[in-house]
Amino acid sequence: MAESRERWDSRSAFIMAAIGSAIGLGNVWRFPFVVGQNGGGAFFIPYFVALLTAGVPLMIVEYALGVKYQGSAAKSFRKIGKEWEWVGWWALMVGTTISIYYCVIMSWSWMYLYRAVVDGIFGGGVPWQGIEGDYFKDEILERSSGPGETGRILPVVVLGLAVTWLSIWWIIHKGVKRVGRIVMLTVPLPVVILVILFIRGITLEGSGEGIAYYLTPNFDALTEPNVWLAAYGQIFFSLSLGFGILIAYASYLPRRSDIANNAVITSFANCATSFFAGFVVFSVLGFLAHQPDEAKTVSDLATGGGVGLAFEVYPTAIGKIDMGTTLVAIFSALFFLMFLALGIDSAFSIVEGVVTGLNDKFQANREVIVGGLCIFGFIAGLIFCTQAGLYYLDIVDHWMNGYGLAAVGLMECIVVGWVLGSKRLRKMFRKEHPEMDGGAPLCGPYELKKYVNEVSDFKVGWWWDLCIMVITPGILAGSLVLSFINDLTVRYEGYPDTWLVLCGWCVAGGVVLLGLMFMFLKGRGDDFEEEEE
Amino acid sequence: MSALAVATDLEMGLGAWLMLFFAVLVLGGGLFLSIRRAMAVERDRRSAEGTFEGGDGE
Repeated sequence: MAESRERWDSRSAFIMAAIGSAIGLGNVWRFPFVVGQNGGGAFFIPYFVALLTAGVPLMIVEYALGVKYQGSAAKSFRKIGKEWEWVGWWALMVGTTISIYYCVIMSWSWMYLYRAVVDGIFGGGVPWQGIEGDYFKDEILERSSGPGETGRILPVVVLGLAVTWLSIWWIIHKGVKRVGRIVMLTVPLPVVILVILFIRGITLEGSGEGIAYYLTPNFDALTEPNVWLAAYGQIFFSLSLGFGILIAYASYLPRRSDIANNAVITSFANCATSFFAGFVVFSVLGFLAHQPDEAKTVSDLATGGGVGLAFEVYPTAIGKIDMGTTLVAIFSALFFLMFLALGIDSAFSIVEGVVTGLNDKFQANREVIVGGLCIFGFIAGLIFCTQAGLYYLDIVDHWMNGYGLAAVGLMECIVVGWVLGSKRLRKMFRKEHPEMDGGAPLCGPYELKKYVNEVSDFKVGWWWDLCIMVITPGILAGSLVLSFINDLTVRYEGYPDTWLVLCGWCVAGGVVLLGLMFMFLKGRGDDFEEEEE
Repeated sequence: MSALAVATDLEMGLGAWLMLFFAVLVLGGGLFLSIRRAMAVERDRRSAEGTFEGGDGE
């Protein structure tokens, strides 16, 4: 007899955890940049189309797999068919890889927060205020000349990494009930800080210029396919799809829980936060561009987004606000506290997805699994704590986002859209049309849709079939092909081929092999056939 | 510079204001309707459970 599965305390605990997982660093550092680079306000049109045709439908798929099969990504796919278990493990291995470097980014945030509090609030001022040169790359990372020069491991970054993994261990080792309580703090906290930063931001000279840049639409951009691909990419990457997280989280819901409405709430909350974060970022960029000693425009400052925007541009901008060193330190501390709160629930959700997968398969002691995974993540993350860590992180991130997540999402659509339910449909068709001798005219996400409509607050219709079978896989396949062609023809960021092969192609291929390896491992949890369906 | 001064001084064209309105309408409206639906369903479920638990004699 299988042990009863742990449950969330309430529906709102689950929704908050899922929102916390979806809202991460990318909402602050990636979304505003993508909007600015892809038509400004006009980008919202493809963005909302992508939200409705890819984000919500695929999130419904992940929730439905978790609720229906009551297991991790790997277990859910194994229940669809033993030959598909590797897809679930692939998702979890991609998540594991991403969590390893994601925690290093959080380590940098810990360092900035420490400096803002100790040097800024209790000292003479934040160390990045009014200095020449690049504080982040020169002082924090002591960046080497290229990926070929690994350099030494930076003890302070390692310390931040240890704090991050200890936090993750403490939050998830007892199970999702503790997660449900933690997210009640870590989800609202960054939103409150965003509001504070928004008010400070829009009251700065020049902020209007930044906001105007953010919202002014360039409708000509809508005719460019790349803009539409960017919209689908942003939706896909920011909703925590393809990691197996949402499947794991949903598996802790009772079988009769709502699916469709929870997916809508989660994805709309995530997008609303991104939209709001855009005002916070662009108001400050407008202020910075307005400075007499600043030669760059808002567009130049936003270019690149990502790490540079969060750890270089934004702290520099706060440092230039004329409000006294203590207030500069407080606002800097708030910004990095927000960053940590945004990042921590995304980070532990990824680890929780993997823990659920390992626990479902091997049915070992949860605390041992969590401890082992955290130690592994910490040790593996040390490579990103070297002086060349930023280069390795950049390459691995590019390949994991461009290939790992997109390919897992594509496989999810194929399995759910074209494999799951096809047997049942064939059987039904044989019964109803014996003269056709068993020919199956179509297949579709029949099984899952039937289940979703039985339990959800509202029903999904033909549009969901269309999105899962055609639109989302089509876009993801197109994106994969374009990325592949681009990476074969243009050397990513000019890095040497050796490192692109080692950190890019080998890591991306390695996670697929690991997925296959886990499928062939025999676990005590594999014999779920006796469990009630 | 006050927030009001920024709002009145924003040099945004009609297009930018329209996109702002559009985004707030879609995101805010979508979120509001979905949460309202979830709350209504939860309320119905709880009242149904209450009826069941206390309605043995019916």
